[in-house]
Amino acid sequence: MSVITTDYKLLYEKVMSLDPKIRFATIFDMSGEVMFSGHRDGVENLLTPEESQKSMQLAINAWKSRNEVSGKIGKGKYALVEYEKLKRITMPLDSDHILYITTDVEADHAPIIYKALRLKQDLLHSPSGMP
Amino acid sequence: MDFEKLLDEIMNTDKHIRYATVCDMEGKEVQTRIRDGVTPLLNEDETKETLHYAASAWKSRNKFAPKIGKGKYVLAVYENLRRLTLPLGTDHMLLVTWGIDGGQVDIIERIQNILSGDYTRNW
Repeated sequence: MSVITTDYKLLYEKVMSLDPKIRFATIFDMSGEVMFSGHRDGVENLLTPEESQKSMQLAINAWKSRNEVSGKIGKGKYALVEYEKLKRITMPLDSDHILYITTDVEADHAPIIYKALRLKQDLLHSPSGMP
Repeated sequence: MDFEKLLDEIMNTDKHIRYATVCDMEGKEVQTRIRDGVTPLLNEDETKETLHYAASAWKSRNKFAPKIGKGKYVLAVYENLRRLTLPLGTDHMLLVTWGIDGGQVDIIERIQNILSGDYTRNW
């Protein structure tokens, strides 16, 4: 099911409300087109816009690579990258859209991932494309 | 570099670990352990491609280190498998896979503990 008709701003707001330690969330498609993106108020942007774009492209390429072996190891559910200063969670929303979340490094990522996966499930099972 | 000992220790941290390998940053395999009785899900070419891509991705991530710090690990969770990659110094990467019934937090913490206090470490 596609989320092409989704209200991405509303999805972004729901993601940001999952945990106060979420700094940044964006939804983009596999071509790199950003559907919606935003920072929490008062959060300093650690990467320049160009660096953010490169990071997003890295995530797209990583998910394309993961999808190549999905016939053997199953579909990718999520990926967590921990850096010294932050954590990054990415998960495919459908075959063409990725949810990309950045949190503070001290964030408890497990409940954030669990809630985001539930949000995704709600999204995919809602007739209107939204929870 | 005693990667054999490192891999043996990692394999012993949890029975759910299926596979552990060390490769260089071009993705070339250096040492590998596969648990007895486990059949790899990926064939040789797919494994090579996976290692090559994972190593390449780590090189890309390291470009952001001045801003967001060094990358510590990547955990990718699939329907049938969990896969952890992390850099070993600047020249090597560790890749570990385990099934979906294992405790991932424990495994990641145990591996990080092995690496942080590793008495054999000279990479």
